[in-house]
Amino acid sequence: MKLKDLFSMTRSSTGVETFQSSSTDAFADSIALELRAVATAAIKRALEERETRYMKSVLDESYFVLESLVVTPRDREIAKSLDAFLSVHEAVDSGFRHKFFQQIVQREYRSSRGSCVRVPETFEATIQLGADSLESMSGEEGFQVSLKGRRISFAVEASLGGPLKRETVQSPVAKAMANLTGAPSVRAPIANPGAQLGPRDTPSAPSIDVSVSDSRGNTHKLVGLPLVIGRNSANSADPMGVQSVGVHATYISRSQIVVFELMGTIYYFIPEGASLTCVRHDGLILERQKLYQLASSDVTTFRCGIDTNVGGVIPSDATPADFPVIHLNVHAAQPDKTPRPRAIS
Amino acid sequence: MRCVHGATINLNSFGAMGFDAFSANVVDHIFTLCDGANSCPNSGSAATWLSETFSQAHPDTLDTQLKVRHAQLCALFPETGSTLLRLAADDGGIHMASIGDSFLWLFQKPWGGFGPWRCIDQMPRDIDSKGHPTQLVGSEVCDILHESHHPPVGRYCAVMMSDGPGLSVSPAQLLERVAVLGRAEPQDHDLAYLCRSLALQAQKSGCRDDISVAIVWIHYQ
Repeated sequence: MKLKDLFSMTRSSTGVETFQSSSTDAFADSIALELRAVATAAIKRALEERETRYMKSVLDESYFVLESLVVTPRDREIAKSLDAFLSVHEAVDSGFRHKFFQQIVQREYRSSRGSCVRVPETFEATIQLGADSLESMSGEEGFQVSLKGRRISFAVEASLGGPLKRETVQSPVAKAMANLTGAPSVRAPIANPGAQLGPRDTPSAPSIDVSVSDSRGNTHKLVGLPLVIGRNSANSADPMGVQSVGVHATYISRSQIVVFELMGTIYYFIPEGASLTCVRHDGLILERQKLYQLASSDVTTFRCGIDTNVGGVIPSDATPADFPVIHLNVHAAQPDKTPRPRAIS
Repeated sequence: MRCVHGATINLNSFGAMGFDAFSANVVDHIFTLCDGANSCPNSGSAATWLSETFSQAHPDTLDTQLKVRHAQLCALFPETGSTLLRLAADDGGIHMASIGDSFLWLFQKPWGGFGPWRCIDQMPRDIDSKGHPTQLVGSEVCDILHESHHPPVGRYCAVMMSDGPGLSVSPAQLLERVAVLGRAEPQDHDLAYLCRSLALQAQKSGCRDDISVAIVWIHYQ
């Protein structure tokens, strides 16, 4: 037995099999490494240029955002290979370019001075052909290499945005609630023996006029958002600032209707946990976990106590004590417009 | 005397002109922020005119200037109105003036700059029980110009805001932003960053009005 055969036997006996990389994979490996290196160098160069304009205390509490990364192939050969590589893979996977460049860039870069660059998840680099990218390299130009002998294939330019203030870490619930209008704002007192820092009023926000007909008769309440209407809701005070309106009736779920505002529009839905649903004044039976937009111009009326498991029928002699009725009316936010002062006669 | 400033103007105007205007006269160290009443269409132009006019050095007293400018504004932009915040720093100290419902705070860093920033003055706001302005330049009521003076000693930081962000940003948030400034002289980029972060904070707090914030840092050596 020859020595070569002995080696091949040993390898197969361990169960490890080495596949030969295709030329495309080899190309991907080589350019990924080079792109990663030149992208890092470009981003750090841009960062070091920007950070000199800011105080250390600003850099410590902020971050820059990578806005663009422009990759320019240095010669025709590289440009063609890169274009072919991306085209072939994009034919199979349309999101390949995004995934490839997400592997090239890191999530965060830092400088020695403490400033940092964050890369958005949606970030995608741009390949831009320059005049050099269309020209073949002459024999002499082929020797344009880095100081340590590496052939330079790409030029990369990075541009940064910001700086933006780093957010303090908060729980997902608190974060979600902070974005909803009506959430409580915590205002620490200022330790200042000098001047007061002025009166504080929150800006006007939409509220809801809620009328309930139940076993107690008719009740009326003007409440802010977000809001939960349901059985004994008023008893369960929510530390996150969710308003509640209690309904006293036989057929009503604990959390029957949830109302909230998002970007100036008011929505409502029946939570998944509600065993009963409602019928709207136009005859629509509300589905659980489905968002409905609350009309801002008219009163929206709901009859509660609908059990979809038994056909969703309300008896003709139903009373509000059993099947309560809820009216919602959007109380428009006070306009933020500043009036012109008038002389008092 | 060293003086650096930064500003973020009309953050919420989304491409429209906006109703706020800021002017900086870096030669004479005069800074003005004006907020036009957004119920009147031409108030943005009136605010721009007013801020540019009052940022120029003038031999007359501010009271005299106000009377003249008010009459001119009424003629040029009828049925408008604008607040006026003005800060001037010279060898005699810091002179602050205001009319309307905008905010102007003055912070100082005591003990040769080693102490923490503290608010030493806030200009009065002319508002009624509903929070609406009771007097504006160019409106039917323009009577009293509030003025305040501080000696030329140490480090000061003045924060100017239109009423929207002024009502949305808490005192703690404001002080926390100013506290980023240390003893060293900031650059205009630093102050622009602080203004923007305050403006974004106000926007995040639900402010729907035009958001304008300006910071002026002054050091008497």
